[in-house]
Amino acid sequence: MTKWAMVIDHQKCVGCGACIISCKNENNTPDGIYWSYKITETAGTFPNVRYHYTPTLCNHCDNAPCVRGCPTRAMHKAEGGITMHDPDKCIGCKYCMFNCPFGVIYFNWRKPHPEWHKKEALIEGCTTSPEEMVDIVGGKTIPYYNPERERTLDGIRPKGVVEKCTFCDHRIKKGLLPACVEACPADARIFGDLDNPSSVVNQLLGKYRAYRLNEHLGTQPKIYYIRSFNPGTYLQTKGEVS
Amino acid sequence: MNSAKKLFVPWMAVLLAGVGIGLFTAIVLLMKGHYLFNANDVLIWTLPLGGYVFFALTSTGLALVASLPSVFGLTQFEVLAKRLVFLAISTLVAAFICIGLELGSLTHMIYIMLSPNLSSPIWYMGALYSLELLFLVIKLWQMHMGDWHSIASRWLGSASMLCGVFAALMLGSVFGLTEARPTYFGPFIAIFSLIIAMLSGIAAIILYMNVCRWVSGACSKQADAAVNSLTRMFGFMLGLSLIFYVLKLALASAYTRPEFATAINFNLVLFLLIPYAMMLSKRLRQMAWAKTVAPAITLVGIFAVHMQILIGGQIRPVGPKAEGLPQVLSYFPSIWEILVIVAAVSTMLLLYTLGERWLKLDAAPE
Repeated sequence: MTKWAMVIDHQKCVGCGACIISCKNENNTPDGIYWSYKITETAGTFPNVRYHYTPTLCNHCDNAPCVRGCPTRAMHKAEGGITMHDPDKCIGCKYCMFNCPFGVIYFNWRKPHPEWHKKEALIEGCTTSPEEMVDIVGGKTIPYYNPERERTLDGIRPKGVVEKCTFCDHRIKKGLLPACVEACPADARIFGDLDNPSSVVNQLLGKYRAYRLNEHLGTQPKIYYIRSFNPGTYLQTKGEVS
Repeated sequence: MNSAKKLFVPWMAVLLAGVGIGLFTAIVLLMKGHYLFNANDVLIWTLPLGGYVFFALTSTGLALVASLPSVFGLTQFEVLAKRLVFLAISTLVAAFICIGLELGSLTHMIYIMLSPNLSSPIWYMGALYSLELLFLVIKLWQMHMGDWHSIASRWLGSASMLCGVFAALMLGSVFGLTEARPTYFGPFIAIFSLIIAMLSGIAAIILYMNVCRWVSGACSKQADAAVNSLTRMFGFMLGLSLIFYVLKLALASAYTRPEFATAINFNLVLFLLIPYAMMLSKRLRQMAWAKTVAPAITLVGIFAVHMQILIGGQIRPVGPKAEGLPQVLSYFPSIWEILVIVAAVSTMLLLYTLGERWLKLDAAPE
């Protein structure tokens, strides 16, 4: 049985956000909804400060609280251990968002991409209206619409339902890597089968001590983080007592 | 009686206006979306859900008090039973209005039945409250037909009582099963919900009986003995709720992550403490104004406690949702959220008024 997982290598990640942009393009997500995102933290006291950048996405937990709590099984486990969501069954109760320890599920509070439904030209007599632009390029709701997303899920999810990362299941089915993995310029995201002992994911997990977010909650997340970027050195010392 | 008759038409006009506003709100919400609420991806559940919790648990409490004569043989409460069942139904309808307008997609509700998830507390809560509503309606019909003591009636009483108990526990479990939110996680909120349900049910019927007497002179005097017994029970439930409230505060103060202790506010204890102090006095327990003010303060306090618990557990963003947001969010309901509550309260009071007028709620077995 395949069990998809991802390793994110902090040492390679430069925090460029290409994963976030590529995810939005691939999955037609509206403003304010991020299937792939980041946690940024600044720690320490000036001038001794440091900055952490942690890329985030759905952890596709084996023991997923969102799946356990969904009253209609709209949130469910699919092939390869992927946590999928069926917008047709979603009643918009938002319990999955309430239950998710990682904060990676979003709700469509309004009709998605409302700005592209406007009929007024931006500059009268000079530019097209957003709606005309969508028509001209043959998109659905947005001019940069990706029809590939429709293979396994609504291309754009309607208002009143939640949505989240699917590990780009439509791409995996075609033998392609998830869009965020493909787009990463530093190869900081490594995708593979956890049940295949020789997969690169397993090689990395064998080589480096990995951690997972909120591991103590027992949800068995499948996003592993390895290493940390730190090129600095410091004067060899045993510290002091005063 | 005359003043009640004079007030009837304007009162009905106000309530019908409230129901009309509710219908308008429902249409706007379903067409435009829930961005009209002051909710977001961090503060997910707001005032309408607080209203749901309040009305659903109050309905449970009313149904539990209604079951005292039929299930436990406490015949002194028979005189209140029909009214209690009717109030429980009306209050549960208000709860359903709140939750219905909180949901994003009512058209997909069919999947609750077609694709049930038997590991979901929300599913059990919905199923149990729906069943409870059904049982209560049948029970009211039986009482209306004069069937109080048949075997079917007793079974129905037990079934609706069990539905109420487990529905309240499940409502609490919706919060208690969230590992991600230490503020809620654990069995405490489920037990607290059941106790608060009983307290709000007793407070609601005592308040209702006193207001009913003042406004219209209706609500039979034969019920006085039952209401007096309930007043003593009210004091006991206030004491029990205070113990649990203080216990929750103690548990919260012991958290190793103090930010999660914000879900309960010490000041709100006054809403339970003041009525408790009033109910300790035998003299005050017999005064009509005290029997009106104490349950009214309690109900306001219970609503505030529900909102405090609900919002307090959500004000800190989880994971990447903290990006670009303050560490602690603030909340004030939008006009649309308030209109949802107006719709629920108006419908509930409209049902109360019509039931009081047409359903002979004073009826009791011979």
